[in-house]
Amino acid sequence: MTYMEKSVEELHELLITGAVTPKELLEEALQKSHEIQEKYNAFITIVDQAEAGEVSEHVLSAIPYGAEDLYSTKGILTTGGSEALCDYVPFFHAAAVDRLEEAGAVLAGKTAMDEFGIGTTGTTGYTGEVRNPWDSSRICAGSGAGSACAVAAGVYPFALGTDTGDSIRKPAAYCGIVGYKPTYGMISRHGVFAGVSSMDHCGVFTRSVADAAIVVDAMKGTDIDDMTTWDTSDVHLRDALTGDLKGKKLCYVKELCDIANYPGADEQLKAHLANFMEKVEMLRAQGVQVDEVSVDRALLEAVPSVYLVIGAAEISSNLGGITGLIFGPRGEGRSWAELMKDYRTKHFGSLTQRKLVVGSYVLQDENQERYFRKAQRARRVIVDTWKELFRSYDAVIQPAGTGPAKHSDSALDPHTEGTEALEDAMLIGSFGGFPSITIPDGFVEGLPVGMNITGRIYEDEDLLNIAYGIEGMMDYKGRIAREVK
Amino acid sequence: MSRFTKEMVDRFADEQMFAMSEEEKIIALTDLEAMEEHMAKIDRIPGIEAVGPMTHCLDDFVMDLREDEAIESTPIEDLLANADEVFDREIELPKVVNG
Repeated sequence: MTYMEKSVEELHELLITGAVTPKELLEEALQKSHEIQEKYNAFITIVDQAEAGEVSEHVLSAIPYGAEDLYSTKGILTTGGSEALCDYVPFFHAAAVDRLEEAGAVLAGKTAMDEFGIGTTGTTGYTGEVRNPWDSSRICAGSGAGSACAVAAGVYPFALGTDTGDSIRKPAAYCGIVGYKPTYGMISRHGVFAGVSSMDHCGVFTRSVADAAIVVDAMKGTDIDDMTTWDTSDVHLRDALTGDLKGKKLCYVKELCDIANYPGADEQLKAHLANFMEKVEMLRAQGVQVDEVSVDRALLEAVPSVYLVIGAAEISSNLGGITGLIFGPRGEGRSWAELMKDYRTKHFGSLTQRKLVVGSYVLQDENQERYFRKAQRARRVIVDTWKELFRSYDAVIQPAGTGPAKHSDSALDPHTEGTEALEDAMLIGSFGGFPSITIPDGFVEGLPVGMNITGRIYEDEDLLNIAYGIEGMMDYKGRIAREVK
Repeated sequence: MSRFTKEMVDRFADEQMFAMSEEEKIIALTDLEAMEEHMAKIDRIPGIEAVGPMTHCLDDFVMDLREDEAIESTPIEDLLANADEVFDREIELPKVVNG
């Protein structure tokens, strides 16, 4: 095992005892970054000029890490995965990066992503497709593809991501690692390019629940530059991890998880759901109460549509500030409008442009109530339904997605009708700002799959402790991706 | 017959300050045509009209105004570092009024 394949706490112990130096850690992280870049295209910038940190009492001191390229980094290229920002070098760090710097962590890479976090595949960024380190013919999912790939491949123990739909939790599942999106507003988004502001979350990819707790402990808290942040001074995620699940009540939704919902299911889906139900039985055998609950299928089936409408509307508003006039390669033309139009025509990717067209349509005066406001009302009904579940249960568990990582060529993937609700069910965690984490829970056809666990807002300590307890019952923590095909 | 046209796509794109190729317009048309299917799914959720639009994750969020204290601002030189065209200590923009 190389150093970068170890956990944060293991590395800290090695640093404190002098068994390894900060310089050795950084050199290994950078060397691995270049190797992984060659194989999987996981980075936009490898920070070769990074300086080794100093060891302090902080557990993150001198630990190299990566940040999705949506996070502003002072003096380091920050593109958001878009050609429109291909020359943008911020003069400030995102607040989350600032806090990690204060803790002594060392930024060693900016990871590749879907343009502005809009995509879900890790294939739409201007630097090209990120390939899955378990099977390079498959995707990592998005938008946080590069961060997921890097952590799974053992480049460093953690990397930052953003989660608007399921952009941390789905790639984590596809890459066999942990992906954690805390309660909305727990981590400042200052310095992170906005996409869907009402759902944008900062979060982290790690290889264990404990590491996720440690990193978010260091990043969380109020920030005067992000008015959605809240006081987390009473939240101590790592300290709260005991693994004790006594008295915890979990549930899963029958309409998502029962194979009987999918007549003619392909073998992969069958294996994926069977794996999940095995874990449900494992939990029950350990004395954890896990109930099957029922939710109106109409509500579940509408989730992707609600996301599409709200997402397109908010993105079209937020990207209005990307003009090419102040930063980004300036367009050509005689007026400001011509300059801006030329810039956005040339440098926005196809998927982004299509989202903006939909956003423009649903925000037309005559359409706002019919589309946008209605989708917002639907969002509330969906969120209220989950809040009702949380009156009786500590967490909702589900399989992450419909199976292992999909192929770059989707024609190679099996397809079962009627799986959209399951595929996109993690969006509900973003709708409600609920804390939500994906942990690896097995393999299907030799590829990792994940379990998603979502809890009550503000109760991240409880959620992570549940995840920690479940993780401890299985043997998938800390795995490093090895190509299986 | 579709209720959407390429001209409508052109208009929506123009309002978003870009232009699309003919190939992209065809895909965008498909996206727009799918909107009614999406709304039909949303319409099947019971009780939508009885609730208000949800615009923020945290319904109980209380906004605290911070103290009105001056804080250090970013040096202008830093702010100008990414601008393609600079005049003195200002970003040079094309004429906007009557431009």
